[in-house]
Amino acid sequence: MDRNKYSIVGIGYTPQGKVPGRSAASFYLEASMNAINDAGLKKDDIDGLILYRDFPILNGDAFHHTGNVITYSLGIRPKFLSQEAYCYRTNINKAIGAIENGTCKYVLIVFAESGRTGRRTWTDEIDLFSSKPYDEYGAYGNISAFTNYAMFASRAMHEHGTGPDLWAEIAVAHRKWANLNPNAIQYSKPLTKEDYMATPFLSWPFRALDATASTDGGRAIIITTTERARQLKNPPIMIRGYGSANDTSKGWQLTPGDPASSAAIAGREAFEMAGLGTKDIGAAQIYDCYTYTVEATLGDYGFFEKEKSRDFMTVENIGPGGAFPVNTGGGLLSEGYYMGLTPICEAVMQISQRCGDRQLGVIPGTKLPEFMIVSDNGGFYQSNETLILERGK
Amino acid sequence: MAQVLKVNLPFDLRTSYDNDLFYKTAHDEHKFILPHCKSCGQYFWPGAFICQHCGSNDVEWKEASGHGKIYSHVEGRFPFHKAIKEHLPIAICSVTLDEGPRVFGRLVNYGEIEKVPYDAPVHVVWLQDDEKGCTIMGFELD
Ligand SMILES: [Zn+2]
Repeated sequence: MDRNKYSIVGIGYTPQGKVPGRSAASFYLEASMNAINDAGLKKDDIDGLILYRDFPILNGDAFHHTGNVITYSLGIRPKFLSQEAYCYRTNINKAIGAIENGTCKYVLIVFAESGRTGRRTWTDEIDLFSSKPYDEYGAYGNISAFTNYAMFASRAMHEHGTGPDLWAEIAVAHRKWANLNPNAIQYSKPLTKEDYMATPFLSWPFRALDATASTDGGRAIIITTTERARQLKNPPIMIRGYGSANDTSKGWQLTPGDPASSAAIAGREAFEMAGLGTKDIGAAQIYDCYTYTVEATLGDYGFFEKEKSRDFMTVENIGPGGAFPVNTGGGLLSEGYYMGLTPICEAVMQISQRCGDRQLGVIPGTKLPEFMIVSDNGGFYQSNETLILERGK
Repeated sequence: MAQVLKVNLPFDLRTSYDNDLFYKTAHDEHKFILPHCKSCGQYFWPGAFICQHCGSNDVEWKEASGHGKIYSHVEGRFPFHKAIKEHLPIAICSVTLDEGPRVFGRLVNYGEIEKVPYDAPVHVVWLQDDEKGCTIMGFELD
């Protein structure tokens, strides 16, 4: 893949948070059409459609029909159609591959959910299998991503000296960004470190505030060549660097600081393709399913030595007005959970200067970054796609 | 032989892939066995048709020590599913076995979770559910 050959040309948002009476399918469609309109395209231009790991939009749909349902209702006939039933992060790779091999011109990637009012996203999957969860770990009482990430974070406390007081900084920094973002679910809910510390452990050493929460809503992006993007109405957001990797450890086996982690490998590849280093990056949009995920990812990218995460991961440094802004819309933790599309869309919003009160370069003491790093990770930190984005002309 | 504790597990044990023999042997004989590669001499877990280190299919199950060092641990206090509510708190640990593989188990008889030392030596304790007819790994500090 060549540097800056592909661009993101449109993004689609929907109402989010608690949105009763709306189906997941409706959010898929609304986010998709909003991205198509944002790019200035017609829906018939979309010849590739990629759905993130879906939670079946109909309860009990063991066959995961979402891709067909959405394609039909959009009234399009994509040449390339793809939908994950699990968390592997291959969406950008597939989108670019489908364009590179000549199959597609405009690929739309979408994720939507009615996880807040519709149902309980993950536990529904256990119920589908009656008393037999999908693997042996259920019998041990490990039925949540929360437990696996807590296990990863627990070891990091011993290995790198991190812990709840540092994760409080991360949670608060994300919330402060969300308080500047009217679209964020936590927009009107301030949070202090004391608030964080006063909440109980759900799975020691993690609290509820260490985790993202399911939401109602959808999010979409459109990818094409930068050459085609130049004919469209938005400034192209160019993919200057890209990397991907899949660690085959099981979630509970993860080793904090592993130089062969997916984030470390995908990050190195992205920096190499971009011809850049950490010092060139002005801000980061990091997949923040949990507070510690942000610390682990930035550490694996090489932004700080792991034992010095305490100096870097402070509200002052990564929050509004800080030297290294992270997750400027509030992230998965405080803005809304749309898998990797939350960080990617926020990066596009910032680089195209559509961020209002939270706009970098407008907040005193900040500047509009030339390059932004974006992560998406799946499974339990096992699968990673990393992007380095740049504004094109 | 490792100690056996009678318990009620929150869910049936759903084994799959090629690891069934591990749990069957644990349940029937209370023996701790591991997949071992005759070609490269390394252990791995869970069981599989080939060795994850060298790819050889010359693999066997071999009795192992059931001893290792605790790598990480957590204590679940929240019912992420209604079926685990009555079992809380549940402490879970990962253990790097003396033979090499990192396995997963319930941590038992540990006192306060905040004070459990990382890298401390542990040994396996079988957690047997007679009603569900299955046995899983527990670990206890030496
Ligand atoms: Zn071998």
